[in-house]
Amino acid sequence: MMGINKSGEKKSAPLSPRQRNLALLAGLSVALYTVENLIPLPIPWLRIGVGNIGVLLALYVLSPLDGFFVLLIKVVVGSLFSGRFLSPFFLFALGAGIPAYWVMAGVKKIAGRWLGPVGVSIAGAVSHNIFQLGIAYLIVVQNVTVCYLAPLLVGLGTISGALIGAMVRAILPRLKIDTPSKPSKMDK
Amino acid sequence: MKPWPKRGDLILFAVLLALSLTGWLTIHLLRSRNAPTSLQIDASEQTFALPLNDTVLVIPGPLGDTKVIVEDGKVWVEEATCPQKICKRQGKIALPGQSIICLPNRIVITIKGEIQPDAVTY
Repeated sequence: MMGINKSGEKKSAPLSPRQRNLALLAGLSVALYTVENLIPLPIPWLRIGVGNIGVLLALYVLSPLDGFFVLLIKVVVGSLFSGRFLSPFFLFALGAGIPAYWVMAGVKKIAGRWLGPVGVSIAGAVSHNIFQLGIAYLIVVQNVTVCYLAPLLVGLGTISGALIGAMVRAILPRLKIDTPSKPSKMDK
Repeated sequence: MKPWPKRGDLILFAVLLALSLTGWLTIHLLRSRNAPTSLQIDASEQTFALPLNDTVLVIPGPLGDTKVIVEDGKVWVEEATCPQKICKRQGKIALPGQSIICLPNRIVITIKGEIQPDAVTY
């Protein structure tokens, strides 16, 4: 933020590698999210959430906090593009997305030794679906019958999470991104 | 990078899929064994329990009367005074736990069974 304020005086302050990568991954997320929303589907839960590829990449390549920023940008800007900003859909996406992201980041931190991107992504997707069901139960229906949906949502979350994780795993080694941690330490 | 998917990934994937499948099957088993017993109607801030016999009910609400038909164990809303007629579009219900809800007229129609969902343990 400081760089933008000073840019007038100092003539285009360059973005740090972290800022550039963050912008790149956030843009990727928003674009994928928007394109996926253009595809009509009979049931809303069938979307696999390709926008989360950028979130997961940021979690792996940058830091947990940067991944969180990518998630927030994805939901806010993505729903602005698809005309859902501040709609119930948006509140659901934000309300389930934020806790699910931290569950995912926690799983990566704690179980990262045994789990690759596929497992971490599954954890995020399944917890996202469960949080969404929880919000639906608390706010919308308050009827125990919604719990009948839980197995279906866990199953769909597992499959879509695994797909996203596999894509991220395939992208990671090919990602030509100057990881800020290594070069900046070498510079110093 | 290390080989993938890691063993943990596969285990997590398999465990969650198995969990989802068993949960799904359990619910279906419970539902098929669970015979519908009665009809519960919440309207005008009161709760009524009715047997599932063929009848025509006229339920008053803030916007007017709602006509509900019970026939052959199926329950549906025939006529409604609410603007969007969502209750009509919810169709016919017959299984325990299923419900028809009309928010404008504050009516909740639920089919009750021998096993109540409250008694389900996970």
